[in-house]
Amino acid sequence: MALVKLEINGKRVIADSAQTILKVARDNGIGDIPTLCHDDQLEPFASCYLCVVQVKGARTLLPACATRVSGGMVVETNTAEVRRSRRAALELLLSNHYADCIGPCQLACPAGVDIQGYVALAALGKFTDAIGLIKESNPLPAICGRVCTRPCEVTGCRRNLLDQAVGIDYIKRYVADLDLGRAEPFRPSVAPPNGRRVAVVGAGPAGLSAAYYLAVRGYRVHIFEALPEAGGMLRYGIPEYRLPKEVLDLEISQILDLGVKLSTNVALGRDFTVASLKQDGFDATFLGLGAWESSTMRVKNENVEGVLPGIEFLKSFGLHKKIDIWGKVMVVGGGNTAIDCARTALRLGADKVTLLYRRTRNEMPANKIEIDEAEHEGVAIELLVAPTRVIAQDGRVAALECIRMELGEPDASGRRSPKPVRGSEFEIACDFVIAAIGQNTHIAGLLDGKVPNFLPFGETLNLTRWQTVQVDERTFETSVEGVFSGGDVVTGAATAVEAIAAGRKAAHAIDRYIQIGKAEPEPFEFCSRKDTFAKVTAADLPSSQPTQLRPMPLIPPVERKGSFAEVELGYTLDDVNREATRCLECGCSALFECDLRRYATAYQVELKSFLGEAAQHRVDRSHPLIELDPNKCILCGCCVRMCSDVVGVNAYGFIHRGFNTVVKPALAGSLLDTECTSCGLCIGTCPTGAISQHLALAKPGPWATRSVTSLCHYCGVGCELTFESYGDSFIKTARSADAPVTLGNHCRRGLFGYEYVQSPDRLLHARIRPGRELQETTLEDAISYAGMRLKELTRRYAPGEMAVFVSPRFTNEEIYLAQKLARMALRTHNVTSCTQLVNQEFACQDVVSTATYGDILDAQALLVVNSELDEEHYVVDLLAKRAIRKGAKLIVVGPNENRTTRFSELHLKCTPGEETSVVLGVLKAVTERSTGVTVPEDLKAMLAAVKPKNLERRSGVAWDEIQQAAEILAGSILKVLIFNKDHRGPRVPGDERLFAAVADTLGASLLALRERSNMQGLLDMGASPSWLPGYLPLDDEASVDMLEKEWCVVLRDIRGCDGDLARALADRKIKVAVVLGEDPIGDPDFPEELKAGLLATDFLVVGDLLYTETAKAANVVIPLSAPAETSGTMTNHERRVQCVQRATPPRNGMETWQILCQLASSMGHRFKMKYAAVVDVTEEIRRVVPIYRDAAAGDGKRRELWRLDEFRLAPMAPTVALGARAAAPLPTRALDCLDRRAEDRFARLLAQARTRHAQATAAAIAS
Amino acid sequence: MKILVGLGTCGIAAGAEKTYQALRARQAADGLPVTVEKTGCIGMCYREPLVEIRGDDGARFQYGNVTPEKADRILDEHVGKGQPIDAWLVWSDDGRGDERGYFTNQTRIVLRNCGKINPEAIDDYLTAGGYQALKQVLEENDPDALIATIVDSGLRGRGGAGFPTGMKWRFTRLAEDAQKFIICNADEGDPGAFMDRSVLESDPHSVLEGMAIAGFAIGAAHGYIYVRAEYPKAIERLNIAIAQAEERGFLGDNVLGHDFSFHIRLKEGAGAFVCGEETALIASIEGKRGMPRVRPPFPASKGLWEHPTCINNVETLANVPWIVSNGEAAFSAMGTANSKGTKVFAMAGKIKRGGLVEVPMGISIKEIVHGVCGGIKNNKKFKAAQMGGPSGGCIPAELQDTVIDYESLKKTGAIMGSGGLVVMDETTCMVDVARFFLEFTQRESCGKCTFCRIGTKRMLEVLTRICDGRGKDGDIELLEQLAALVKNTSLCGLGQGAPNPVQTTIKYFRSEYEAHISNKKCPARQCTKLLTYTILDSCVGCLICAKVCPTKAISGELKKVHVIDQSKCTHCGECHKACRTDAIAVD
Repeated sequence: MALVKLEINGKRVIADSAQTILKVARDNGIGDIPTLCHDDQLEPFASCYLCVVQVKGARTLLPACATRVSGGMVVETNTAEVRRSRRAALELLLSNHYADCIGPCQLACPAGVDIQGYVALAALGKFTDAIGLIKESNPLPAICGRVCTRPCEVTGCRRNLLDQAVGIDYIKRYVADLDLGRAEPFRPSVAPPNGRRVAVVGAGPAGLSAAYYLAVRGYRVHIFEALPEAGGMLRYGIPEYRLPKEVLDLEISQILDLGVKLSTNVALGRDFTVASLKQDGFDATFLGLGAWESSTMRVKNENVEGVLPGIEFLKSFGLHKKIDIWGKVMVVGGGNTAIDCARTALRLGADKVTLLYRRTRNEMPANKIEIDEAEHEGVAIELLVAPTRVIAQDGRVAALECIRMELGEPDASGRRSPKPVRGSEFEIACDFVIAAIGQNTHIAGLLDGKVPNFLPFGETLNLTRWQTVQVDERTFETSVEGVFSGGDVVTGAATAVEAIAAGRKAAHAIDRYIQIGKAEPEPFEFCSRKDTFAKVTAADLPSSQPTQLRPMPLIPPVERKGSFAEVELGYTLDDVNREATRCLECGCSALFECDLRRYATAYQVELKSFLGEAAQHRVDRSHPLIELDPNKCILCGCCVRMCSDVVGVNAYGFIHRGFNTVVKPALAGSLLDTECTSCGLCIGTCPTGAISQHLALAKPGPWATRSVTSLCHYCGVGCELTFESYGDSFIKTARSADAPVTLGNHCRRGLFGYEYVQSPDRLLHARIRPGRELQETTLEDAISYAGMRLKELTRRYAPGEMAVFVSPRFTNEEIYLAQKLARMALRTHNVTSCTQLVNQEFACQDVVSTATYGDILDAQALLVVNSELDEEHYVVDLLAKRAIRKGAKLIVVGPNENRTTRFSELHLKCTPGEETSVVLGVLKAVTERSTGVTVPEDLKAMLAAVKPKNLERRSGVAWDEIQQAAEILAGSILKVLIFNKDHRGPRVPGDERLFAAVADTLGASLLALRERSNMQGLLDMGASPSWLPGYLPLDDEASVDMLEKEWCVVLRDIRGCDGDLARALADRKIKVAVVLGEDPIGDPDFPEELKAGLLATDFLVVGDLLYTETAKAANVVIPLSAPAETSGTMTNHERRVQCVQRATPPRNGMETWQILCQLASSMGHRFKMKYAAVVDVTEEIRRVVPIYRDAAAGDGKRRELWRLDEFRLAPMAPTVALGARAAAPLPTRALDCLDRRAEDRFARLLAQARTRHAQATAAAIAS
Repeated sequence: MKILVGLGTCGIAAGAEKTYQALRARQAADGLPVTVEKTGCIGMCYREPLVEIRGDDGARFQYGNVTPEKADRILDEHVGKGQPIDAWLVWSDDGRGDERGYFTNQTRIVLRNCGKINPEAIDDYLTAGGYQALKQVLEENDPDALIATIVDSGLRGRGGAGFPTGMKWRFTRLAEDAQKFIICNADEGDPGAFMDRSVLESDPHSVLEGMAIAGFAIGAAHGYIYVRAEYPKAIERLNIAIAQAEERGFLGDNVLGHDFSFHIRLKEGAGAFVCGEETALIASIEGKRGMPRVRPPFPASKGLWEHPTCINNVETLANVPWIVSNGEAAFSAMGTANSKGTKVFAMAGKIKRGGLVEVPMGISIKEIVHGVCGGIKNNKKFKAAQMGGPSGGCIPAELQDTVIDYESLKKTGAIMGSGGLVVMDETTCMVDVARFFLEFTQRESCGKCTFCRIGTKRMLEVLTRICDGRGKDGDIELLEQLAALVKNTSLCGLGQGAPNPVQTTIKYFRSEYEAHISNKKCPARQCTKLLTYTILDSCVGCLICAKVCPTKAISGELKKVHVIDQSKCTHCGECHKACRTDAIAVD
């Protein structure tokens, strides 16, 4: 290692020459070098070639991830050549990427609504989140849910390949209707007012949409509408039975509620002009004028009475004008407007309505359901017919002459154009003819000079040859400065959703125009599409049973005549759930996390550059938790290397060569065929969606989740994890990029063990037992009931008859408050964890870790004893392997071979229970070969008693091997002795003290592992009948004094707690118990007499996350918050105090610490346990617990060790009797319902998957 | 009298095994006063099977294309009556034979024993002065001086990259580690290259001796020979040689009684071209997938199992004993300023004398092609020479005066490479050549680097489409763009070199590309899909072509001129081959 000076992008930096350019650039915040194949945990690989940089003097571009810095190096990270090369790398990778970023439904939607996202939210019952997601791109979902032409379903949905499209639009309508019906419907977060004003001309869908998205951005928006009411074509072009005015009004009012001003009956050109708006100080104008002129049929006698332009007809009706319709009505046209006219005419009293269309039914632009319903209502449809002449009689229409048509060759648009059949003319007698064959704009009429000063001086508004406004297709800018336009006035008559999309996109451009002086389109986002490579067929879809679309409930046709009541009644919740499950989830689950997409977007990748052959692979769903899609793999090899180098398992490998190279589980089989441990580290390191987590959700999104870094609460390792949530819902955990303690490692429980947070069987409702049965009640009531009863019982029973049991998975704050509640309110020292009631003969609380993970990584030798490291503390095992890769030598003492021993230098394979004597033997061998070791007096006699021959015979370990171990240890300076305090194998009482003494003698540091996440914290917080918080003695005057002052209570008079709580329980002396987060009754290994003692209490309060067996026996059941739902600190087995951060609001309604405070409050201690926030509890802990003085802080950053010099438990001398019989501790893992649940779930899922996989393999072989 | 039969793979392929058996049988049956022995590749692969009659006076007579029948007669006439059969002689000491000129322009150092000794007899090697060099360095016991000798000789790596061998040894020697390795890279993978195979088959001890010397120089006690599994004969003979050398104390513990131990193990490669790359080779020996890794650290500091490792090519190592025995000055006297000694080339393609030649550095390509190898087959025109295998390039006939020298060759866009030299004449389509080599590298890419894996695939697709007549405007530019990218951004030589054949053919034969793309014509008439077959008026109407046409595209009546329906024609060329009157024109 040497420090060198170099220059990156002109900036001078000093760096260690052992580091790579990438690392140095990142550490110095220079350059933002992209990379896909680099992971800080792994050695440089250099395969993606995205990280290339230019180094002065180098022949080629160099991969920054693998090039070490050197003195005088001059690096450029962002030259044109570098960018070209990176872009080419991305384009090449994506040219072989048969995958969809987002579903084809969303791509088909003109407004680009995240359909897969909201359908998934609807499936989960998250309707508020769903409406919020929809309104990110469409502010009128209740309207769209009724009138949309549904390109998402018609052309988008892949389900069409299987059976029928998913009822996307109906789901949207359900979600939107539900929201409209709420007292407090969804309201977007609105930016603070920015003081700028925008005029929107026209209150149709385009104008309303523009207004909404401008208002959200903080603009003052003023809409000017020519007609009496807002809505435009939605109001005046779509009849009531299809879109009730009430819905329209509600959705419009939601937009106006954002502060949008609406003026009606004011017309452009009559009451104001574009120029006058500018003069009035509007910073920009949006023209959403629509297309209101009906096209003419261009036939003779078109102007006679009884011939009505379609849109005029609908509009007149909308304006509540009286319309007389009778007899036979002919409607000409095949679009939705024609159908609307026909059905309206029928409702207004026409005897018979016939629709004439010049092409066939297949070509009709109207929605299929509209056509069907029109027919049901009695509208006759004549196809391949066109009008040629209106036959008038007495100045009024009498008949329509028509001609038969036939379809010719497809034209440029692909539609087959109709051609008249010569001589096929015929007449149809009729009373009315409604021409609904298209609409035009009237903008040209405003520009012909009749309106003075229509435009600002010197400006011209360019129109297209179709007399529509010409705009920049991406920014919607017109030729007039500051004037934007969208909707029908630009496109000609088109759909509502297109107008809505235009309004939103224009709003973005207007915002940019006002903010930076330049209209910019919505940002480009790269999208990979399977269709680019090959036509997707049914065979490519995930297997799914064919199911038909849930039909929309309708009112019967007989009831429709003369009634304008809404025909479509809307889906029920059941329909919605059914439809949502039909979604095939075509979009990528890693959409919001994919680095490939992120870089492709940043580098403006053009997919067409290098298109060629693309590989197509089957998606591997054989593993129940990990899904593999090799189509998305970019061969960065991160998973391969993570699994082999970090985990040491080799579940993945590169297969084949050249272009056909692919990464798959070893031998191209399933992960189930490998030694995969399901840790899921491959998921975290995969830069794309090739390896993804199979979420235990009905529909897994994806959504743009919010992440917080917090802690895993399973074991004592203290892994940093990212908790991801959407809205108020917890979604998943993920590998954390900000993980200095465990380097982003985790085991399978960390990644897959949190499904319970959102699970339907979470305990969410409180229960009390006023009589014989438990009854549901509110949380508040349950707390006050419990508080009242506890208070009363405190008076009745002595301190020794009360007890509080608290889970070692709680945060320090929760445990601290639980013991404070016990001592202060229940007036007892009887507070502990159920785990502490058993195996007391093995408990050596004076033995704590002196080593950190850093010591493991730096170690030259590691001695592991009393531990199945690979299973029990997976991540410590990974850290040990990392140390081994750096040269450390591992010695394992234990009977079993496992993944840890496979990497050991030496495995002293002893008979179970003889670990202690082997360790002692090793120490003896060290002292024999090295004179520098000073053996303390305590050990001398024990060492003298070690006889190699005896030891060999009893332990089964050859003395020779012990000497080898001694040689390694004697030859190493930095060493760590690792053992599990909660080891389940046969143990000798006091073994921990021996290990501590041996470590001390050898000059090694000690890592005492813990089975549960906050066992260390539990003891530190004083959840023990034997000491106060911080291990302060109960009889220490100064300590009690300090606590009494801090808590404002008298503690010295609590008497009668003799410290042996297990005995008290077994003797049924405990009358009142509070059990928090533990399930002793449900644990088959928990001693029966203790269970009986608990069941014998007079009053039992249980708080937990699930409805456990213990809860079922309680008098009060209180639902608690999950670790993802609370904040605070936890102390891992290194003694490191780490921060827990809340990811989602507590599903049970209140965080556990608040529940404890409220319980105290309801017991009358209103002010003694009152905290504004959990950090106040942390602060109190810092004051009260001396060892935590510097360690704990609520800033979310600290990860420090507590002070060993203030540790008050004096180390005790090792008293292990050699030859003592070893005994196995009670396995009380099931004390915690979560641990058991997670393990059971993994076992079940894997067993099911193995059976399925075996069947599939057998079937494949058979065929 | 001794009879030597060339039993290299080349000889065996030509049927030498039968000739050898016939000779043995006859000798045994008749009790002839001759010994019949195996030898390795003599070099004239184009005249195999080769049989040498070596008189007791050392006079050598070589016969070519010796079938068992011919062997019989040779025994009768030459051995029995002492009358060489001039018509079958390819070469003799006294100046007979039609291939006399073959050896005159060659300088044989690496191939000094090839075809002369029995590769399975260590005594033959010892008689030829074998293991003297090893003995010498062990007695002198001065590794630094030994390395200096190699440095001064100017020997550069013959595997292709041309890194100074002595420097490599020095770096490995200087690396601090108790355990070091020497690896002999015998994973010869270039299409058309067989120099290493011939040396291993013909003179395995020279490689073992070179390795032992290298091991002594750098302080390695273990050596690996990474040899292709496709070279069974080489593996067999190496195993024999190692066993013999161990038995005689040239390998093993305390070599020749000195305080130096050296063990050699064979590791068979499973046929991945990329394993010729040194870091991939190391990974492969370690039991991992053969994938190159980032350098530095170079193998000289961290190689096999993380120990300092020196990797030398077969030919490089075979040079070593000669240099030690003959002195660095004798070696550096040959060649150019920066390229010393000799180079072995495997001559293939449209050349009269295809086989193995060893020439001094500094000789021109023209001299090799026209001098040593007798020019182009069928008297066609020399068009280009492809040097350096799939990572090399094409040197056009205009540049045939380029001399064999690492730097001069590099300037042309080609590389020295390991010694594959494919000669092309006017009937070779250069686009097709580029496509052929790229197809090879694409298939053999380990798949690690984006550009090598996908970039070469896209280049191959473009080349294929050009050859198929689907080329588009801009394709040449696209190839150039991709070539530059792939070259610039690949981890190992495979990727960095893969675009070379494309780049050099575009550079020197751009008009051929343009003809394919713009005129949809292949000037060399090789790209079948671009060919048009038409029947000339000279057609006699024999119906043969119509019969052989697999798509029934040819119609016609007996004795009348036939016609090809171009819409049905698949350009297979069967009609052209079948026509007996040359009445089918190809264009």
